[in-house]
Amino acid sequence: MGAKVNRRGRRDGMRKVAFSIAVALVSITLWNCSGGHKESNLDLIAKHQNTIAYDFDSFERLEDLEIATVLTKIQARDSQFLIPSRIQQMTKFPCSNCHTKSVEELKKLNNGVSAHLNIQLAHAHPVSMNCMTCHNMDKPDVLTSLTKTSISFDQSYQQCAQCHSTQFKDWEGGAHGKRLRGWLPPRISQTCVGCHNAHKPAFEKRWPSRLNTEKIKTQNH
Amino acid sequence: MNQLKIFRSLAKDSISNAMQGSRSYHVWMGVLTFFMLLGAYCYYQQLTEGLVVTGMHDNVSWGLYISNFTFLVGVAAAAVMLVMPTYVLKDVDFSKAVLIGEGLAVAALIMCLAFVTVDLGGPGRAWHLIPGIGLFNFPQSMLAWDVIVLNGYLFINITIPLYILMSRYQNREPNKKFYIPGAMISVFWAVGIHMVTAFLYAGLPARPFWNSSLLGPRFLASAFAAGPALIIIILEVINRYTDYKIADKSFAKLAVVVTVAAQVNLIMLISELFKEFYAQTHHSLSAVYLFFGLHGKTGLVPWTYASLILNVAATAILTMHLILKSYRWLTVACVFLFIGIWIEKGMGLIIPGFIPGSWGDIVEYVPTWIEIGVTIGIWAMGAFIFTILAKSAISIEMGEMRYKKSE
Amino acid sequence: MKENNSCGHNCSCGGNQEPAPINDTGFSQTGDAKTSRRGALKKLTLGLLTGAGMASTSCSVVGDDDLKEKNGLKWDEFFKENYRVMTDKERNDTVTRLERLYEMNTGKKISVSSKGATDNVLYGYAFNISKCQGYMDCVNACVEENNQDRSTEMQYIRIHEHKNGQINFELAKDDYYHEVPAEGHFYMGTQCFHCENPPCVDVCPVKATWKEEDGIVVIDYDWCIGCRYCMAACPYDGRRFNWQQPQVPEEEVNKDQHYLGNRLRKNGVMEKCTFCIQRSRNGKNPACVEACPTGARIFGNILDPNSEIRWVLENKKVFRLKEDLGTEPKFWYFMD
Repeated sequence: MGAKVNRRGRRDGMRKVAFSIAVALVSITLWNCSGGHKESNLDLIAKHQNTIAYDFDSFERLEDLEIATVLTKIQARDSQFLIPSRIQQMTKFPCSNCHTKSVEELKKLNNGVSAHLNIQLAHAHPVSMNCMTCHNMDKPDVLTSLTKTSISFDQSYQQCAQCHSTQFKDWEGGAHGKRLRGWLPPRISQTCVGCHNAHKPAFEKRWPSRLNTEKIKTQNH
Repeated sequence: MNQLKIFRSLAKDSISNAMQGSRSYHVWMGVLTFFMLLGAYCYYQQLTEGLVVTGMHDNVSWGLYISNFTFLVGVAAAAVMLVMPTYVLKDVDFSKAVLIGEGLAVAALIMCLAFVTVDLGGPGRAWHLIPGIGLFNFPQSMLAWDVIVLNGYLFINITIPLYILMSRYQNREPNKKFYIPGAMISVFWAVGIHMVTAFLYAGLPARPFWNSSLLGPRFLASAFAAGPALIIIILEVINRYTDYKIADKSFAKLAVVVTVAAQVNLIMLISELFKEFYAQTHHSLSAVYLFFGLHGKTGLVPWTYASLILNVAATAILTMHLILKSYRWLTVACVFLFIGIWIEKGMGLIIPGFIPGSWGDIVEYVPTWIEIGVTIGIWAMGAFIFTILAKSAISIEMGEMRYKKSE
Repeated sequence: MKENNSCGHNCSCGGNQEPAPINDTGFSQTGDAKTSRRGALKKLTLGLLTGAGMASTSCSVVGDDDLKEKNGLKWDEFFKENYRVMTDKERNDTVTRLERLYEMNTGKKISVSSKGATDNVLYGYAFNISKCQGYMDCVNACVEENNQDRSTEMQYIRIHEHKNGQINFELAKDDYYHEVPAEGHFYMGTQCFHCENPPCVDVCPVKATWKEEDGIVVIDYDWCIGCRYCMAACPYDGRRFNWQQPQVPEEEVNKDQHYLGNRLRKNGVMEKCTFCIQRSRNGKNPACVEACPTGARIFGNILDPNSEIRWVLENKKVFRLKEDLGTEPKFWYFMD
C-alpha cells in the first residue's frame, strides 16, 4: 500500500492519508455510541405490575423487633400492613386503674405529684386543641375522636388522621414514616407516635451528630 | 539467529558508546541520573505511604502525573511530522532528523507509560490490564483504547528505527518495502494516540470543561506545535554540540509546521474562550476558575496567563519569521511555545476539569514536593533514554558505529 | 513496609494467644492449587513473595505452618480472577480465604458473604427533602456499617444545606456545623445513585466495577488498579478513593461483611456506597435508612408494585439530579 502511494505522487498520497485518518476517527466514534437506546428504569418499573412472590427462604431470618410488640394489621390501599401495638408499650395501661375519680380529685390525692400532669401541650394552637380534644376522662382507656367516637390506643393513627389527612395518606402509601425491620415484605411500619410525641409532635433543633464533609487533605501535610 | 547476534552486538556497541563522551556529556548524564534517583526515592515514599503523599484528593483526583502524561502524548505524536514527509512523501530534507524524532517519540512514550504507572493506586495489580491474563474493558473504556494505542505506537516507533539502524549498522540500505508500510501506519497511529487521549477526557459528560468536541482537534494542533518545537530545540542542541549537522532547510520546514499548528491552536483557543465567556453558563465555571479564579481561589490564574502570553508571543514571533524569512528567534519562540503548551495541556486542562467539583466544591490542587520529585525523575528518565538513543543513532548514521563480522 | 506492618501486628497479638487451628478444608493451601493461564505469571513472582515470606519469618512468633499457610492464602488472593467472572466455587474459596486471613491476622472471626442478587429485585431509593433535618445520623451509621477509613474520615453520604428557594449545589453548604434544621434552609443528601447507565462502569479499563442484577453498582476491591477514571466519570461525587491504608480499629470493625460491600479495603483502591449490599441482600434496609430519625429515606424493590418506594414514585412528584446526563439514577428526591 505504501509503495503504491509513492508511485502516485505526493498529492494523491496526502489525499489517501487524510481519507484514512477520517475513516479511523469515524470508526472510533461509532464504537462509543452504544449508550443511546438503553431501557430506562422507569420503563422497567412500568412493566412490573404483578405482585412479586418472594422466596423468603433465600433471605436471612431477620431478628425480631427489639420492642416486645404485638403487631396490629391495618388496611391500607389494596394491601394490609403491620404496625407495632401502642398499648404493649404503655407501662400503666389500662389507664382506668388510676383514673377512678375526676382529675380534680386525683390532683388532691397525691399532693399534686402525678404521672403526667406536667405535660405541656405543644400541638396546634390552644384555641383549636387541648387535652380533651383527644382524651375523655369518662373513657380513659381509649382515645376520643372529634365526633366523640372511641379509638383504641393501638389505632392512634386514626386520631392523627382526622387533621393530618395528607400525612396519613402518605404514611399509608409509604412516603411518610419509617419501616421497621427491612424492606422485604411483610411491611411493618412505625406509627405516628413511634416517631412523634403526640403532645409535642415537632422535631427538635439539635446539633448534627458529626461534621459532614470528610477531612479534605490539604497541601500542608 | 544471525539477526539476534547482530542485535546483541548493536546493543553492546550502543552501551559502550553511551559510556563515552565529552565532559559536558558526562555531567549531563550525571545530573539526569541524580534526578532519576531522586524520583525513585520519592516514588518509594509514595509506594509505602500511598497516594496520600501527593497533592491529589477526592476533589481533584488527577494532578501533575496525568497532566504530564497528556502533554507527552502530544510530544510523542509529533514525531509523525518528520516521519510522514521523509518516508511517505520522500522529502529528503528531513531524513537526518527523522531518527531523532522517532527517538523522541520512544522517550516520550516511555515517560507517558511511567506517568500513568505512578498515578495508579495499585501498580502491583497493573497486570489486570494485560489482555488475556487480566480483564480488559474493550471497547467501552477509552483508557483501554489508550493502553492499546500507546503500546502499539511504542512498538512501531521502536521497530522502524531499529530496522533502519540495524541495516545501516551492517552497511546495508534499508528496504523500503519493510519500513514504508510501518511509517504509514505510524502516521495514522500518531493521530490515533492523540485523539484517543483527547476522547479519554472528552467522553466524560460529568466534566463539562472536557466534554467538548473541540478537545480532540485542539489536542492535535497543540501537539503538532509543541512536539516539533521540542524537536527544533533538540536539533539545535545536536547541531551545536555534535558533528551531526542538520540542514537549515529542515529547520525552516519544521518552523512552518510549528507556526501553522500554533496559529490553528490559537484560533481554537479563541473559539473556546468565546463559547465559555460570551454566554456564560454553569458549565463555564471551570474556565472562569482557570482565567479569573472562583470564590477567591486563584491558584491557576498566573499559570494560565503565563501560558497565554507565551503562546501568543511565540506564535507572533513564528509568524513574523514566516513573513520575513528569517529565523533568528526560532529557538526562543520554540521554548516559549513548548512551555506555554505544557502549561495549557497539562495543569491548564486537567485540573480545572475537576474544579468546581460535582457539587460545586472549589478545592484547589497544589502538587507536593514528592509529586514534583517523581515528575522530575520521570522527565530525567525520558531525557536519559533519549540521549542514549540519539547518541547511538547519530553514531550509526555518521558511520562511527559499524557491525564487525569478526566479533 | 506494608509487609513489616502486618508482621508487627502479628508479633503483638499472635504472641499472646494460641495460633489459630489450621483448617485445611475449603481453600487451597499453596500456589499449586489450580493450573490456570496465570501459571507463568505466578512463577514469575514466586521469588518475590518467597523473599517477603523469609523477611517476615525473621520477626514472626507465629509458627512456620501458619506462615506458610498465610503466604499461600495471600498468594491465591493476589492471583485470583475478577469476582464477576468467578464461578460460585471460586467465590466461595476467596471468601473463605479472606475470613481465614483475618482470623490469622487478628485472632477474630469475620463472616464474608458472597450472596448474589435475588430475581425480580431492583433496588431503588427515595429521599424526602421536606423531611431531612440535617442531623447526619445516617452518616455515622454508614461509616460504622461499612468499615470506612477513620483516619481520613471517609464518608459516602454528603448532606447539603440549601437556602429555601433554590436548589443550587454551588451555593449549598455541606460543611455546616450549627444547630439543625437552620431557619430558612432545607437539606438534601447525596451518595452513589446506582445509575442504570453508570458512566463509571463504562470507563473502568479492567471491569473492576459493574452493575449487579439487582441494580447495585459494585467494585471488586481486589481487581481495581486505582486509576481513578471512574471518579472523573461520576457526575455525582459518588466514589471515594483510599489515598492511604484505611484504618479501622479492630473493635469497631463490622464483622458481618459482603465481598462486594463492607469488607476491609486496602490502600489505592476505589470504594463507594453499595446500598449496604450485606444488609439489603438479606432483606434489611441500608444503614442510612435505618438510622434516619425523620423517615426521610425510603428504600425498596422498585419492581414490586406493593412496595413503598413504588408508591412514592407513582404518587409523589419525584425528580432526580442531572437527568440531562442520561445516567438514570435509581435515587429519587421528593417533597411532602
